[in-house]
Amino acid sequence: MLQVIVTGVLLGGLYAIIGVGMSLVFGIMRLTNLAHGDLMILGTYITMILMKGMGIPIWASAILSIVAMLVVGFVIQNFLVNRVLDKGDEPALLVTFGVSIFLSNLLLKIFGADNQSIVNPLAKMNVLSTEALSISAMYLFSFVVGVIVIVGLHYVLEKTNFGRSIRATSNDTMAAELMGVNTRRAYVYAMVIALGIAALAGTLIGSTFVFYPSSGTQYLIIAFGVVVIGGMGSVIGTLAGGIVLGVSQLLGGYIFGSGVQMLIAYLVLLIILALRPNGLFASATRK
Amino acid sequence: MKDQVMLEVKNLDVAYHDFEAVHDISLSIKQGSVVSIIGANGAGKSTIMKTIVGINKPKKGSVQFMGQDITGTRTSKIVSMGLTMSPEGSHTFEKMTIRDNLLMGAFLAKSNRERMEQLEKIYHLFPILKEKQNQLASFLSGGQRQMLAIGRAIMAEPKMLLLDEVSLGLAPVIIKDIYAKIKEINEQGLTLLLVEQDVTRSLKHSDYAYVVLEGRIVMEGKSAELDINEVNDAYFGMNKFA
Repeated sequence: MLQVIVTGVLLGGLYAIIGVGMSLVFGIMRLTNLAHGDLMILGTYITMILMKGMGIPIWASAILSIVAMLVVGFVIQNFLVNRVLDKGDEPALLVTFGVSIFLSNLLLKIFGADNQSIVNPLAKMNVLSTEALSISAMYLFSFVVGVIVIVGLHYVLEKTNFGRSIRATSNDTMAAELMGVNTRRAYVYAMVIALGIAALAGTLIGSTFVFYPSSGTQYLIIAFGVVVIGGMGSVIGTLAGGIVLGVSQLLGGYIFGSGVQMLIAYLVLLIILALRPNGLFASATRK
Repeated sequence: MKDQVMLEVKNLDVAYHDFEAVHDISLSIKQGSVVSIIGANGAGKSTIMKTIVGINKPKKGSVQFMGQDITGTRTSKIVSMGLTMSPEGSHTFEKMTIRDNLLMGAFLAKSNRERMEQLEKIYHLFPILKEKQNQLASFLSGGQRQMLAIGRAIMAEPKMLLLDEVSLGLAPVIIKDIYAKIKEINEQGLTLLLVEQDVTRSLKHSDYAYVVLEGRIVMEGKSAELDINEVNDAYFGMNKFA
C-alpha cells in the first residue's frame, strides 16, 4: 500500500510535467491543444534518434530535443494557430487536430510501428530498496524535474514582468494589448515554453516507458486529466492534478487489478469534476 | 507647444461586416486639451475610440498621432507611441491583484525601478488603491475599478489618454471624485479625449466637444460656447444638423 502511494505520487510528478504545457496554452488562448501528446512524443523521438543515430549522450540529446521543440512551437503558433485564432475557437482546435494526425503518421512513416525506448542509466537504479519500499531512481528523478519545472514556471508567471503579461493576456486580451503587450507574440511565447517543457517530458517518458508513433493519444488523455483536475489554466494546479491521477491510477490497479487502473483514475476525475467543476485550483481564466 | 495638434482623425468610416457603425468622422485634438465626444448609447462613440487605438480597423480614412500615421497599426504599437485608452467597462484584470494590474500598466517601462516610481505616483493620486493593493481587482467596487483602470492607463506615462465612459453606472458623488482626478491628470499635461453620455458633465469638463448621432458628427464647438439646449437637440436628432 505504501509502495503504491509513493510510486503514485512520483508518477504524478511525471504526469504533471506532461500536462503543464497544455495547461499554459489553454490558460492563455482558450485552446485545447489536441496535438500536445503527439508533440511530446515527437520530442521523445528526437531525443532517441540523437542518441541512437548520432551517439550523443542522453543529457545533450534531451537539451537538443528541447531546442528543436522550441522551434516547432514557434512555427506552429506563428504560422498555423495565430492565423486562425480570430476566426473563432473551432478552426484553431481543428488545426491542432490536423497537426496531431500529421505527426503520428509522420513518425509511423519514418520509424515504423515498433516499440522504442530511450536507454537511461537511471531506469535500472533504485535509490531505496527495502522489503517495504523501493523507489526507482527514474521515477524520483522525473518527479523532482516535474516539481522544479512547475514551481519555476509558477515563479516566472507570478513575479516577473514577462509572466505578468502572460497572465494579463489570459485574463483580458484587449486590455493586455492596451498595456502595450503584443498578445499574438505572447501566444507564441506560451506555445514555445509549452513545447520546450513537452520535449523534456517526452525524454522522461521515453526513459520510463516504451513508446511508439501513436503513443501521443494516450499521453494527451493523461495531460487532459491533469489539466482538468488541476483547474484549467492553473500551472501549480497541474502538480496536484498529476499526483491525484497518478495515485488513483496505481491505487485503483492495486485494489481492483491493473486492467482497470486507468478506468479508476478517470472515475476519480469525474467525481472531482462533479464536486469541483473548475478543478482543484481556481485558474486565471478569461471573463 | 500648447496649440499643436496631437491627434488628427480624418474622414473615418468603420463598418462591422456590412453595417456601417460610423461615417465620415473627423476630429482634431490639441495638445494639453480635454475634448469630449457626446452621444447617446449606440451612437458610435466607442467605435471611434476603439478605431483610434487600433482595436477596430477603419474601412476608410486616417488617424494621425503626433504627426505620424497610425491608421491600422497594431494596438500595442500605438500604446508604445504614447497613446492609450481606458476602455468602456474598465476591463481591469479581475484575476490579478490591484498592484499587478497597475504594474501591467507600465509593462513597457524600461526597468523595475521606473515601474515602482510610477506605482508610488498612482498610489499618491488614488490612495484607496494602495490600501487595497494586494486584493484581487474583482473585489473592487465599480468606482474603485474605474480608478484602477485610469491609474493603470497612466502608469505608462502616456502623452494622450482616451477615456471611454468612465462614469457609466457610478453614483454621482463618485463620478464627481473621478472627474476631479481627471482634471488633476490633465493639469499635469496629459491630453484627454472623453466619451460621455451625460451632456452637462461633458461640456463642463472639456474644452471642446463633438456631438455624435447615428455614427456622424452633427455638431462641434468650444464647450463653453455650445448651447446646451442645441446640444441636447442634436443628441436626440431633433435639430437642423441631423
